[in-house]
Amino acid sequence: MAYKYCTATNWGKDFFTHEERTRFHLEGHPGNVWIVGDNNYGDQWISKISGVSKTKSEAQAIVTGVIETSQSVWDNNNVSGESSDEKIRRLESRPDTYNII
Amino acid sequence: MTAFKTIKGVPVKTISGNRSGASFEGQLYYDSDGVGTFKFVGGLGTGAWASGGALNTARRSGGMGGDSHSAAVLGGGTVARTELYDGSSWAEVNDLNTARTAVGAFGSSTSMLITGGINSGDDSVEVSVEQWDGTCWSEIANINTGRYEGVGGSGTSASGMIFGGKEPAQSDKTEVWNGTGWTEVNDLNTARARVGASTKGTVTATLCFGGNPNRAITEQWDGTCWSEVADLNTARQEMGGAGTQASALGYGGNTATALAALTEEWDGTSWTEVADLATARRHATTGNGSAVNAIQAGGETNAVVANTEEWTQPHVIKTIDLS
Repeated sequence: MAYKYCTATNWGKDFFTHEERTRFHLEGHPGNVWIVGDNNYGDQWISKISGVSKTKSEAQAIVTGVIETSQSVWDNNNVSGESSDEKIRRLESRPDTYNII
Repeated sequence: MTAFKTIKGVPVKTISGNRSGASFEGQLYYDSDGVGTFKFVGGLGTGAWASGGALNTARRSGGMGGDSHSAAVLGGGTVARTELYDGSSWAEVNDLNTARTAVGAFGSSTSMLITGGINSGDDSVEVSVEQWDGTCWSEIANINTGRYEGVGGSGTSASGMIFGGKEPAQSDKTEVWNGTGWTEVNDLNTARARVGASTKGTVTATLCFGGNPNRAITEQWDGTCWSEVADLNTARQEMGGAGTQASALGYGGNTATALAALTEEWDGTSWTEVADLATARRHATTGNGSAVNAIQAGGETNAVVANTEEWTQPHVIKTIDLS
């Protein structure tokens, strides 16, 4: 399956509808990155939400950058005397970077 | 219209637009919109997640009651804030008495219970319970065993139950609420936290599925005992749940390797993978929607988020050609 990549801010209700979700693939990722199935319905949705087109590598760089920022925030959020298990209980596990499709 | 009535011998309702919902299933009606057509409401169609209004306060591990049309979300993180959903947007209302996170919760947007959790002030394990009457929270009888982190909950504010969680050891304990007090009943077969639940279940029939660490186990409650039934297709923890013991949804969470967008549907016997969430996440709050109108809000991706997704599975509307 082919995909398109864009960025757009989710405004809430009707940003994507039930009907749209049945017509094309859609994934949301950190950094307001959206992976959209490459068909006419996907194109119409990108237009509806005024999505800013990105290449896959640009989209990947945005996702990775946002997660790396979250990792830094996690790494620097420490409480004196806290064990690593206690830190994970307080903050959940450290965010992981990953590859988008 | 008159001619059709004469032929069939039954009245046909005139309605404007498409109709969905269990009460309309199997019914024929006349849609007065446009040129006017006869329509038939068939069985359930394809389910999918649509975007809903964003929470005012991003949060994870809060509690929620209600469904995609009307819901209340509370607590989570360090907040005591409660928000009400009207089907399109969230509005802040009266706070909890005790700010807490990682709670158990069940009920509707107008009448729900929140149990236990971690006190956001002193990090202690809570045994206290608060009841929402649609306007305010008031403290009621404590649970017998304080617990937190993915406690399953099913039922209504008059009759409900909680199961699993952490005490801090992983808990197998089940407690039933009768509207006045809590009674400990038979334990889960597998102690575990971060479970999913058929949140619209009852004290005589509900499901507990998934859980820490990345389990696929599903257990079914019959009013007396838990028994193991068919596993989830994808083992995970921190997932959302909705529906009843006969018809449920499990979605999102965290597998052993990644956040999950996967949604699985339970038909009373086995799980089938259906449409994914748009945004994979864990620790979202989930209400007591059915398997056709579930909701989840907030949760965590790389950070705590505020967005909402609504699950709908509309009925198939067929236009009847009378020519």
